[in-house]
Amino acid sequence: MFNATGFLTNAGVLLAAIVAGGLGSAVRLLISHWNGRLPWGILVGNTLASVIVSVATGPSMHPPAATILSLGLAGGLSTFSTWAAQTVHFYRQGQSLKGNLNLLLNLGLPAIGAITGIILSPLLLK
Amino acid sequence: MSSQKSTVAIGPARSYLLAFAGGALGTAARALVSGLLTNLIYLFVVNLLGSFFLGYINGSSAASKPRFASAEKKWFWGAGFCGGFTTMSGLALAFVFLTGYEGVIPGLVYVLLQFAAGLFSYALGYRVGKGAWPSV
Repeated sequence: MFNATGFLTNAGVLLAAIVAGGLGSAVRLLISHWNGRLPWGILVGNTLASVIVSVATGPSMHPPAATILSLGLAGGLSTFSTWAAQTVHFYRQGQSLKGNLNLLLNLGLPAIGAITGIILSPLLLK
Repeated sequence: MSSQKSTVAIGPARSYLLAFAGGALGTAARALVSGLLTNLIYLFVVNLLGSFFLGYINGSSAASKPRFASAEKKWFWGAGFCGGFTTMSGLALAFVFLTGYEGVIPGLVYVLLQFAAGLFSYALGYRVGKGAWPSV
């Protein structure tokens, strides 16, 4: 039999995740204005989002909150496409060092962020 | 005048509204793809498609007949949709879990393959958008 309550709950969680994704994207646009020798804003957004996603997917997190934070907020705050654009433009301009650094930092720091989130998750959600 | 110098350029308020709307649409599209595919495949699909589309947007604004030239379209489709559709956080978590369960080599192979494919996909999208491929 059709479970109307379950359907509305799931639809509500998905809608909240979509709104959270929009919010994350707006915050990312704001911090993307922080550029120096490298696009620091995007790197910070990707790292912060990786902490959020791994805290959110921890075992003691409430499932709807996990979906809103990981699929929504972290997914919107982080970006792969802008990273690809910035890195390709560095290489095309002959700035290989910057391209390599942007590649390695966006590999290493989000990974460290994800590990930090895995460690923090049980401490934050006792 | 000195107050203008100390102001950080963060763009107009409508850029954030458009990035919000585009990001919400991108998140909805990503949610759809994530429901259809396994996690490791889904990440590849959204990141490659999103990179190609952003390349197309940026390339076409450099074309003789630009299609995404206005700042509004770039905020909505570029910063908003492509940024919301693609994800680095999901990839970072997949990298950490793959490394933890399968070993550092499978983890690195997965993420570096996706990085290389993403850069190629962006460059290809840029060429197509600019109209420089496949005519050249």
